Amino acid sequence: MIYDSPGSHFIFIYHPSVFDGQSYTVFQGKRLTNGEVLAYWGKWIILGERPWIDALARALDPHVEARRIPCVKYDREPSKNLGVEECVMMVYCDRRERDAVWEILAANGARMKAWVTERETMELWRPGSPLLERWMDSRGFDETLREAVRADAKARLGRVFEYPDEEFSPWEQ
Amino acid sequence: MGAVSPREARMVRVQGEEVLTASLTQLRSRARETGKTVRETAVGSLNLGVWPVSLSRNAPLFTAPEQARLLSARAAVAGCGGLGGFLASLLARAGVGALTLVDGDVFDEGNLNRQAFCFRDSLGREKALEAARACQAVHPFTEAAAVRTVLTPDNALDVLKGADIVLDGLDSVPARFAVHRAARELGAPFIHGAVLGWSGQTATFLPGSSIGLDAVYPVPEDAPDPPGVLAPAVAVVAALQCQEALRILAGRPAANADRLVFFDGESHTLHRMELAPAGARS
Repeated sequence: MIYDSPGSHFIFIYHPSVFDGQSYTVFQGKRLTNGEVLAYWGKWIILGERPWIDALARALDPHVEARRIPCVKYDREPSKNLGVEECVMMVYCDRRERDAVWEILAANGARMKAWVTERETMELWRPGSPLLERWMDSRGFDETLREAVRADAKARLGRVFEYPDEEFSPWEQ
Repeated sequence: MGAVSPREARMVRVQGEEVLTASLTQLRSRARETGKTVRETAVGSLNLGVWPVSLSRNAPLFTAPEQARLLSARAAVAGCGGLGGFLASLLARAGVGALTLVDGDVFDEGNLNRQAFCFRDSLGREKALEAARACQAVHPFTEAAAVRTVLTPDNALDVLKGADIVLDGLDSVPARFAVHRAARELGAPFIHGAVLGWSGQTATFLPGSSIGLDAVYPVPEDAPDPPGVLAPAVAVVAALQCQEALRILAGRPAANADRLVFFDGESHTLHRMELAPAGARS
């Protein structure tokens, strides 16, 4: 189901069961732990103009419903503050299933094959990372707010790295 | 081929007519084999004259190609409360394949008397999301997008893009004007609906018509003190709107273009009147 809440920078495609509290970070029916997320979870990155990305989202929605794709997230508008000129779509899946997911994307017009692991992304957004600092610069946060954001990033991301056997819990964006 | 063929289909009798049908299991299995979606597979099957069992009671009211058109279409429902909730439910059950369901509000206790998707345990939940989830729970090929926003002149075009038809489930006259303008710009028919107490009305505006919503509302303002709203009146108006939408999406002529149908719930009568361009009235 495409879920579009204009208060969020992102538009999502979730299986409806996610709204009942089910996780989408699963492999062969089993919910992934933090350690497994760091080892296997990632996303195909698709770049494009918003109308094309919207059309792609509609084409991918039934595949999310059929649980062939776990989750999709895409930009409402390009993140120009991060130097990106096009909308970015992230098509999440387990690395062990990424080839099957890529076939769906390729059948719907995706060409650039770019895979990013969740571990890389989390490292980019850890406290003190250049990307997090740049994002806070672009938002004009003062030092108090910056400290709060760093603390939040430490709490959320730190837990993933420090408790590998705990079930992974995604957070709202 | 992404379809269940007539040779694989099962013949059933529906109201005396023989209808070829495919079960959900057949459709799902063929979709998996061919890499198509269930919706694409159902459309492909209908184009070969094979109906999904869950839609077979729509035959022979629609032909199989007409039902395929319904299943290929996207309807946008503006508002997911009283009218919008019934509209979404009826469109999904009739087999309209894709729905864009728009509402920025959450359910509260005052909605329980008339809003189809409002239950005690859904109070506080997003109307658009609840409507989308309920619609997707009917047929496996329904694709519903939930858009949590209040429609305004600034966002209507963006939110409604891609819709083949736009249905009015709103409770605000200015918002209706914004949505009607957007529908016109998108080249999509707009089916107005409104309910007042025991009664309600609907009107169809096709793209290109010189008659617009100002023929119904000369002043684009809300009434200062809206009257109560009764569920049966809401259901009647939504049913009329939905029947019209199904006709148009199936490729049939609109029954009610440039006309206002007024349902008087106290006398159980329907009045139909021709609309004139706002400037043409004396």
